[in-house]
Parts: sequence; C-alpha cells; structure tokens
Amino acid sequence: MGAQYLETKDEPIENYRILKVKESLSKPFQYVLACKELSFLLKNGYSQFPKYLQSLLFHDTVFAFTLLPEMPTQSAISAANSLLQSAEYALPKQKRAIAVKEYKHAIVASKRKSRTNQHDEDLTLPPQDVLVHIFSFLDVQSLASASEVCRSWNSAACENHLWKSLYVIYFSNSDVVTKGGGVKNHRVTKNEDNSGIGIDWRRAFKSSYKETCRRKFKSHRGCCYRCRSIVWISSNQCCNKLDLKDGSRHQIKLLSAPQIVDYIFGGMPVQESSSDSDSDIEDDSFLKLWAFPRQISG
Amino acid sequence: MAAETGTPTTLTLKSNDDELFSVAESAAILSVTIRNMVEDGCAGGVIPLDNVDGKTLASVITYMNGISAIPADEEKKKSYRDKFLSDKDFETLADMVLAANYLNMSCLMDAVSAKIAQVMEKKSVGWVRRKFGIENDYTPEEEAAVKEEHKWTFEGVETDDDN
Repeated sequence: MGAQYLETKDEPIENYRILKVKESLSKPFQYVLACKELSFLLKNGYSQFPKYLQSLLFHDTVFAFTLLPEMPTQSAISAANSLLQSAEYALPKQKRAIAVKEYKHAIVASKRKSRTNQHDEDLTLPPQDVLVHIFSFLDVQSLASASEVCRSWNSAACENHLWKSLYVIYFSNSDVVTKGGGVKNHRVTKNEDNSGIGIDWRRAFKSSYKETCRRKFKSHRGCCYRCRSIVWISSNQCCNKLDLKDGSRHQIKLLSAPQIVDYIFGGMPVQESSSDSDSDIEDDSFLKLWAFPRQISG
Repeated sequence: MAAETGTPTTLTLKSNDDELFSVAESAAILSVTIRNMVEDGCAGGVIPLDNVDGKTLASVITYMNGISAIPADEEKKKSYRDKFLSDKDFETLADMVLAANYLNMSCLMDAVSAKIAQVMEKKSVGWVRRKFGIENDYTPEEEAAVKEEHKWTFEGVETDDDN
C-alpha cells in the first residue's frame, strides 16, 4: 500500500482534494460526516501520507475546530471530539498542541453561543443536519413556510442543496436547462453546472419558477421513470417513495395537467432524451390547452 | 462472520437511561454506528448508546428485528416500514429521527423524515410552531421580510390546519 503512494508524487494529495473535505466541513449537514472522515484519515493513514498531505490534514483539522461554534448540534460536538482524539493520536507534538488549543477555544465558544441562543423550550429541536434532511422531503411551499418558523429553521431551509434538488425535479427537463434560455438570468453557466458549486440554487429556482407558468405544476402529478408510471406526488417523491436498495429516491418529473392529458392519449412521456423538435410541439399544445382551464379557474 | 454457523451472535445495547436490550447482531448492524463498533471489535460487552432513551431504543429494535426478518424484497420492506410508522405519534417520530441519525440507519432516517415532512406539509407557520414547540425568535420586521421573500411560492395555496 505504502509503495503505491510513493509511485507518483501528486496522487494522494490530488485524491484527497477530490474528496472535498474542507468544503464539506463548512456545510452544516455534512460537517459531522466530514469530521468522521478526517478523523479516520488521521488515525489510519496519517503516518503513511507524504508530508505535504500530512500538513493539509492538520490544517483541515484545525479548520474543523474553528467551525465548530457554527454547528449547533450535539452530534457535531461529539464528531469534533472524536476528531480531537484522532488528532491527539496521530499528530506530532507541536501540531497536536495547536489542535488541542483550537478545540478548547471552539468548545468554549460553542457553549457560549448555545447558551445565548437556546431557550428552555426548544431543547428538543432537531439539530440542523437532521432538520435539513427532513426538509429535503418538503415541497416548495412547505419549505418556504418552514423558513418563517424561526431563525434556525430559516437557515436550514435555505440550504443550497435542497433548492438544487427541487430545481432538478421541477426544471431539469424543461427548456430552461436544456436549451440554455433564461439560464443567464441566474448565472447558471455551463461550467458551473458540472460541479453545482457556486450557484445560488434558491435564486435560480425562484427565477425559473416565476418565469414558468405556476399553474403548470398544480397537477400534483409526476412521472416516475423508475416505476414507469404516473404517480401522485407527495413529499417530492413518487408514492412508492424510496428505493432503498441503493438508498436513492425514485427520479420523478413533475407533470402539468396538459401533460396528463397527453399521457392519456399517448402513454408514458419519454425520458427527456427526445429531440428538440418534439418538445417544441409539446410546448405548443401546452399553451393551447392552458387557455381553457385558466378561464375556468379564474 | 459468514463462516459462523449455529447460534447467532447477540449484542447488548444500553440506552441512556440504563435499560439493557439484547438484539441479534445481524439485526443490530442495520445501524452503521453499531456495525462500525462490531467491525472495530469494540462490541464485546455492553454497547452504550448515549443519545437514545429506552423507549425510543425499544421501538428502533422492534424495527430492526422486523425489517431484517424480511428477505430482500423491497416491496415488503416498504410496507413493513409504512405499517411500523403508521401508529407512531409526532413525539415518537421526533425522537426516532434523532435516534436514526445517531445510529446512522439511513432507511429508517429517510422513512421517518418523510413522515415528519408529510405532517408539516401545507400547514401554516403558526401550526408548525405549536406542533414543534418552537418559539418565534424573529422580530416582527424580520418575520415580515422573510414572508415577503417567499411570497412567490404561495399564490393560490391554502394551508390546512386540521389535525
């Protein structure tokens, strides 16, 4: 194993960078996982790593501790604590002392912070990472309501990846993404699109949502490609909810009422790999059909 | 592990209020937290679970046993999960999501989270605050600003505060 590391100088550090540990630490819902990973690396790899990677691990460890006061959950504190143990085990004397000092600072700061923030009543509040997980099952309106509940819910509900997944569900197959029209408005350029980092997905969602006819999404129907069927949507999922074999959710695409009509005539919509000309025709029939229900509901 | 035959290994779990539970290792390792302990060889004696109380742990173990008794059939597992959660009240669900998070059981975590989300869906802000026992820590100005910020999502949507 050690021999493999020595073959090319750059590889371990590159591979480590790809893991994006540092970025993950700054996200409340990934902080605990990133801490655990870091602590595992310290314990099990540190001594074999090349020097420059060792120093990177050390810096990320200190970075994790400095972020701790921002992470208001018990699980974050215990993750940081086990990170400290790994650091004490792996790091050489001088670095160890710095890490320990940083950890102590962080604990004091985090206690102070939780004392000022917390009222007696909300002791049972779910921690931020759990909250974000629950929110990932909410629809747009409920997520927006959740923001209004209190400050900590607001920060959880603004979590970028929540809006990214909503964006994917609502718009991934529409013109907005596939043809690049309107994309510029919210700074989703092609380059960024690959990584998804640096995009304000909430803003992107908002502007796309406003551009598109809102009524389009009121059918509460979606097309689940996994189940090969049209389903009712609840909690942003198809009614078969979760495919737990691989832990992923069924991929759904929201359908408009006219698309339901199309479905009745023509069967399952094709998974959006069809040519552009097809979708143009669809769009056309869209508008015509909308003229009708709009008058009724208005 | 697979080579072992005969009596299955049993683990002893301890809740934070000092209740002891025996559970088959094959069921308990649905929890990644417990599985890691087993793999690291530190599951010899009693496994203390400091973040889970006895009542919640009992429920979780019922779930572990139930779901692991079902062979690899996703449909049946799903219907077991639905049935398991159907009679749980909100407080139990809230405890359970924390336990599932701590124990790192993604299937339970997802199912309970989805269930809690379902409870919240289409409810008013006031209703959610009451249900979760959350104090509004916004100033009136801030609250108005947040509301204004999300107005675009709410056209023509009615909330439903029953039950």
